[in-house]
Amino acid sequence: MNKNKIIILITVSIMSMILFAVLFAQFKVVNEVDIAQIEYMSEQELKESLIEWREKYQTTEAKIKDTISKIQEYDEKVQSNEEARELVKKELSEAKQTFGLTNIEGEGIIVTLTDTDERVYDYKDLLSLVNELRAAGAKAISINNQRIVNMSDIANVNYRYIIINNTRITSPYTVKAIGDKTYLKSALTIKNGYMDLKQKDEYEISIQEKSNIKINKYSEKVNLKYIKLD
Amino acid sequence: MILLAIIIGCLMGALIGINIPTIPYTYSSYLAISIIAALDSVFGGIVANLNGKFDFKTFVSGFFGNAILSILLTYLGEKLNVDIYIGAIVVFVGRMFNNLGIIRRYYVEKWSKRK
Repeated sequence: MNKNKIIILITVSIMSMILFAVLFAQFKVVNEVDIAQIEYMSEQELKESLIEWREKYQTTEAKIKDTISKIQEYDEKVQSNEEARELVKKELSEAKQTFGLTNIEGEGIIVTLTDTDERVYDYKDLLSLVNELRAAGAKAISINNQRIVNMSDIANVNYRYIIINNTRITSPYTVKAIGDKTYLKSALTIKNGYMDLKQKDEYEISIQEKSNIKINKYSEKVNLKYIKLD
Repeated sequence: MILLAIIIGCLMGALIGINIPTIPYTYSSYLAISIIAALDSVFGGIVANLNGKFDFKTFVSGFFGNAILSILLTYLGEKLNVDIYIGAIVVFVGRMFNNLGIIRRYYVEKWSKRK
């Protein structure tokens, strides 16, 4: 084997190597780039594919519109749900307020009843005071921080001490009432009114007007065991 | 011996071609035209070999020269906005068919003579 032959062999193998490398590289390019097809399409084929794509576009657009309107519908539903939720929340908080399950504050009066050696308040005095205040439009009442709700009891035990909401309270009795303060005060202080009568009987009683009174919520657990809804 | 060299070269080339990163699409038309030119040279070489007029230097220069020239012509055509590569393809592919026909005839004659 002479030198020339070896050169020829090497050259031939290098040439075929280059040829095949380029060939396969090109295969790869054509495989990966789909656009290559477009260049070899005839005008007719291009037109057809254009029509096809246009139809696809139209159907897709219609789908998009449909989906968007659906989304809007759902949005509206969600919104109305939220509105309903807000409404329920508001009603719930209103119900809680009326039932006395929230701490509230506002203008009102504080009536202080103090036992003296001669005169001792009993539960009927507190009961009638609460009644008077309610008649005068008090929105919330508490006695010694016991909130008076519609299930509250004001009772006595053995004519010796007074219980409210199952809790024993003693003198001095601080009765807080939230409502129109001038109206509440005047309802108690009119001639032959509650205060007038008590003062005539030499009980110790005082009334304060306040622009900001805080009344705590009803602290007992509300048990609706025997209540059934219609 | 020469067949072995060609096969080894082909296999190595295929491996390289598969593993190199993808060439940008812009250059793929140049590659394509150079491939056609190289193939044309290969078939031309085979025909020359059959006729006993094979010259290795002519073959190698034709292989690379045609490929490079076709690339340059394609580039020029792109600059001039004339599809010169179509002309190149017509020439190369036409010649390829010619050469393939000659090869076919040669082997058909050889085969029928043997009978």
